[in-house]
Amino acid sequence: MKRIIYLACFLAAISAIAGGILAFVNDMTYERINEMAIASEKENLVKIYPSGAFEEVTFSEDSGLIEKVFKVDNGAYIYKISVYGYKDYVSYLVAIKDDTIDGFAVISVNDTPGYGMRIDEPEYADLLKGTAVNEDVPLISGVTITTGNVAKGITAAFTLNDSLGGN
Amino acid sequence: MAKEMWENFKSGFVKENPVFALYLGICSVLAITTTLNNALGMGITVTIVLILANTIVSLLRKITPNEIRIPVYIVIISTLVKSSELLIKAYAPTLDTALGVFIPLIVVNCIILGRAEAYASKHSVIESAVDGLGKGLGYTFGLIIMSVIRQVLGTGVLNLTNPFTGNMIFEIQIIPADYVISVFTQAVGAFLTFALIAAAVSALNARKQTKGAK
Repeated sequence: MKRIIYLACFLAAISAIAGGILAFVNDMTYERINEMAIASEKENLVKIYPSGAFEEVTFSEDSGLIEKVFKVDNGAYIYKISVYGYKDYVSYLVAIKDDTIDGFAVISVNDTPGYGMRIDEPEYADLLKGTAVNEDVPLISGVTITTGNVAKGITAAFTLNDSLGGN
Repeated sequence: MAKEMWENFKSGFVKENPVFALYLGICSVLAITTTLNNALGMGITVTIVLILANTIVSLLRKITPNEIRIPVYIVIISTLVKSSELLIKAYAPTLDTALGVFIPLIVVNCIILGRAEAYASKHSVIESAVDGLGKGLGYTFGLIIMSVIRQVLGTGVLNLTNPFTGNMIFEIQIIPADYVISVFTQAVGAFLTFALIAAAVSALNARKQTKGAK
């Protein structure tokens, strides 16, 4: 019996020391890892706001489509969204300012050329720009599956934007 | 004793190469040897973890109760691996994206637990650290050979980038792009390369043994 207690205490002590070391390393690297994560996102973020300063925001929402949220220094929020397109995931950014879409950029899309791929053309970004919170998100005819799902992501972003207090 | 240590250190490269002679930690070897960059990054990380793990296990060898030695080793190794994972994420993000899940998987790399159990738990701190360095460099050496063969045959290009800045250090086109065998960048190529090198190492060791017997 004594032996068992000794063994448990020994393992607990080793684990406690290990936990302490990990807490220290985590503390040391936490900020830098965050900076690095923002830096890798930033190449995409600057497509919408070339001279903005970005800060990642923590959030919770139910749709599960929104991956990340960034606050921009001009008051806008950028939402990184991933939805299933026609045959693969579409990852894109939507900037919302004053309850209106202020920018749209596709990060990755792997759909049919001439159909789903058309969401990556500047025409679609221009079409989306200016859509306000209660309006229907414009779709492209013939690309209803991909743009329909993209629109679902945008609707989720509007809902989250409301709860984040963005305007 | 110094001579013994040197012999043990040397044996890690060919005679007891952890990958090609002891067949330890092969999973990650097959997966990450697509480029020289990945091989070097993984090799150096494993070497550092192996030296530290061996040293700590050896330091604690007299007070570690025999019944729970394996859990104690696992806690030590996973702490080291998690720390190096965080440091790589912070300072060499390109390496982190390239190696991905294989960094945390160093925890279950049999070389590290194997050396802790078979060597460091029975030898002095310095001997264990040297053993870690030798086996770690042997592992790195194995990875480099595999990755050079696979990268050159598979893509025709051999290059090296600085993991901390992402700058290219050198790049040479060895085989024209039209004549590459792209299967070498895939899993099949990994198995083929591994099998051929392991056979060569095994033949070399067998020949040495018969010579020694005469």
